[in-house]
Amino acid sequence: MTRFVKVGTGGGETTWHRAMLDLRLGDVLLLEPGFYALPQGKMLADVTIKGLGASPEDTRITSFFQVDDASSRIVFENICLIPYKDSNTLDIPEGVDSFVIFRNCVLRGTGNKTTTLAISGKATVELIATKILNGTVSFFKTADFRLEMADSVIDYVSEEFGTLSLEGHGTAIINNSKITGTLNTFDYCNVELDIHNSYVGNLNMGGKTWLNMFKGQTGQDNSYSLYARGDCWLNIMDSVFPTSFCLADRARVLLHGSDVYSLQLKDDSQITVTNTLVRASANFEDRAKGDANRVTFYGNGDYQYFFYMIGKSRFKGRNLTFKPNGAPMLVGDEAKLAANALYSNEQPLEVECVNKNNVSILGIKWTLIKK
Amino acid sequence: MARLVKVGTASGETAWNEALADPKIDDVLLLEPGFYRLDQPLDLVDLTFKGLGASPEDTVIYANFKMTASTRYGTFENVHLMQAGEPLVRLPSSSNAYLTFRHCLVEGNGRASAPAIDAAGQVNLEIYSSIFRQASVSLQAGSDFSLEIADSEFAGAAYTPISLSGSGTASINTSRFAGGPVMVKDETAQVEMELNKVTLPLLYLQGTSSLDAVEANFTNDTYGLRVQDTCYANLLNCSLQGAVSLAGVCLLVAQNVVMDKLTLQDRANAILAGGAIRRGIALRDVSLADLNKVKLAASGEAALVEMSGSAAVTGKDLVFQGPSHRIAAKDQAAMEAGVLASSQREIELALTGEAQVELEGVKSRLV
Repeated sequence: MTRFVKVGTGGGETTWHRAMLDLRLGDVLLLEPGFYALPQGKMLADVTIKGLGASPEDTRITSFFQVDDASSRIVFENICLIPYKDSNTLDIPEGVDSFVIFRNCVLRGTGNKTTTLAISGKATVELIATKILNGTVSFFKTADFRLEMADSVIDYVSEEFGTLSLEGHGTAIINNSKITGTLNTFDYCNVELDIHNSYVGNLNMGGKTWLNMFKGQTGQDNSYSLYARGDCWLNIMDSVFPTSFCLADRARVLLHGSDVYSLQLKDDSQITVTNTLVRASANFEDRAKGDANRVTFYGNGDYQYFFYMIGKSRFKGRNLTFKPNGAPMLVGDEAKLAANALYSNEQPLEVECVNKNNVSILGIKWTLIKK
Repeated sequence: MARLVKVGTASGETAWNEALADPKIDDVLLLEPGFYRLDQPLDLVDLTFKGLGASPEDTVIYANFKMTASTRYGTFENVHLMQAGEPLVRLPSSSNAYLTFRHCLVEGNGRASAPAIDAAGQVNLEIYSSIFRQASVSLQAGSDFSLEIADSEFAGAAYTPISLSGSGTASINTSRFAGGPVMVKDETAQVEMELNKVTLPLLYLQGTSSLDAVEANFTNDTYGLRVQDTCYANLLNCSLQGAVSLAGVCLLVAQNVVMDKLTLQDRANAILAGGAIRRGIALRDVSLADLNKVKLAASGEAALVEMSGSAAVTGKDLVFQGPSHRIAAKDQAAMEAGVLASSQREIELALTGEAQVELEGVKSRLV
C-alpha cells in the first residue's frame, strides 16, 4: 500500500530517523530540503525517496544503501546522495531482481576504486537527468542487466578504472549523455550497447559486445578513442573519433559517415567503411580486411606512411580520395590492395611495395617507389 | 554470421529485387543512395536496412512490411521510409519482435486508420534520432510492448502521433511531438510512461497507467494533461500551458509544476509541492488536494479555489497572487490552509451549505 510520508522538521512531518526505522514496502518519502544522514546504512525495498527542493542538491542524504532481495522497485528523485566514507552509494547484490531508478538526482562518488553504483544481480537501472560526479558505475560478472541512461552524466576520469564498466550479460542504452572517462566492456561479457548523441571519453570493448553508435563523440586526450577486440560487432554512424580507432581479434565494424584520426586493424578484424574521413593514417596488419566506399584517406605528417598494409591484409575500395600530404603508401609482405580512386590534383601517389601485382589503383596516377 | 549485402546498381552490388527475393536471416542490406520501391507487402525477417547516403533522405524506400510470428527483429537505419496505403510496418498479434529505427525519416499519410507502425503483438519498438512526419505509432489493445523514443520528432498537424493501449512501458526522452495528443487510451491500458525533456501538445492517461515526467512541456493551451480511471501521474519541473484534469481514482504528485488550471473530480487526489497555478483550482465530488508552497492565481471573475461535494483542500505556505481574491465552496467541501503571502489583504469566502474554509496568515471574510 502506498504511504506518503512527509519527512522534515515541520509540523505534520516525520523525522528522518523515524521514517527510516518505520520504512515499509510501498512508502513514498517526501523529504523537505535539508541534510539527512544515516551512518549505519539501510536495506531498501520498494521505496521512493523524493526531495522537495528546487534542485537535487537541496536535499542531501549521506549514507549507503543496498537493495533487498524482496525489492522490485526503488526510485530516487530530485535527491543528492553522498556515500558514507568509502562505500558504494547503492549496492545491488546477487539474488536481487529489481528496478532502480534515479530521476533528476546527483550522486557524489568516492573518486577511487569504490564504485558508486555496484550491480551484481538482476536489475534495470535507469539514470534519467542524473549526474554522477567523481564516481563510477560497475556492472559485475554475475549481473543480468538493463541500463538506460538518458540525459545524464558520469564524470570521472582515471588511468586505472573505467567510468562505466559492463561485465555480465545485458543491454545498455545511452542517449544524450556524457561519460567523461572510459566505457569498458570485459572479455567474458555479452552486452548490447547503444550509444546515441553522447560523449564518451573512450571505449575499450572486448568479449561479445554489440555496439550501435549514432552521433557519438570521443575525447581528445586519450591514446585511443576506441579499441575493440574479442568478438565485437560494431555498427557506427555519424561519429567522431579524435584519436586512434583500433580493432583486434575478430572484431567486425560497419563505420559510416564518421571522422576518425587513424584506423588500425590487426588479427582477423574487418571493417566496412563508407562516407568517412581518415585524418592521419590507415593501417592493416595480419589478416585484417578493409572495404571502403567514398572514404578520404589523409596524411598529416604524424605517421611515416599515411596508409599501410602488411601481413596478409586485404583492402578493396571504390570512390576513394587519397590526400597523402607527401607521405607514401606501403603495401608490404603479402598484403593486397585494389582501389578505384577519384581524380585529385595531388602529386602522383607514391606506393612502396614488394610485389606490384598486389597493388591495383585505378582512376589516379600512382608511382612505385623502392625503399 | 551476418552477411553484408551491398544493394545498388554498380558492379559488385546486388539489385534490390534480388536481395529481397531470397534474404537470409541477419542479412544487413547496405543500400546505396537511391529510390527503392516494393509494390507488394514484404514479410520482414530479421533484416537490417542501412542507407549509405550522407543523410536519410538520400535513400528512399517506398514499401510496407509485415512481421511474421518467427520474426525476431527488423532494423532501419539512415533511410527515408515512405508509407504507401497500408501501415508501414504491421506487427500482428502473433509477432514477438524488436523493431528499431535509427536516424530515419518516416513519412506517413496522417490518417488515423493507417498508422505507420501498427502493433497488436509483442514488440520492442525503438525510435532513435528519427523524424516521423504525419506518421503515427499505434500499439493496440492486446499488445505487450516496450517503447523507447529518444532525440526524435513527430511532426505534422492534426494527427495523433502516439496511441498506446495494451500493456507495456514507454520511455520517451529529449523529443518533440506536434499535431495532436499522445494517448494512453482504453480502460484496459496498463502503460508505464516516462517522459524526460519532452515537448508535446497534450497527454491522455487512462486505464491503470502511470506517468513519471521530468521537464515535460505541454503546449496545448486548453488541456495539457487529462488523467482518469486508476492512474498515477508524477510530474517534476514540468510546465503546462493548459489545464490538468484528474478524474476517477487518480493520484497526481506534482513538484515545481506550472500549470494553467487544476480540476479534480470523483475520487482524484493531488499532492502539489512548489510550482504555480495561473487560473485557479476546482474540486468536486470526493476529490482531495494537498498543496505545499504553491502559488495560486486566478482572473478577477474566477475563484482561486472552487469546491463542491465533499472535496477538501489542505495547504501550507500558500501564496495567493490574485487578481482574484475569492474562494468559493458549497455542499460539504472544506479547506484548511496556511497562507504565507497574499497580494490581497483580505480573501472573500463565498460559502453555502455546510462548506468550511479556514485560512491562517491572511484575513478573510464571508460574503
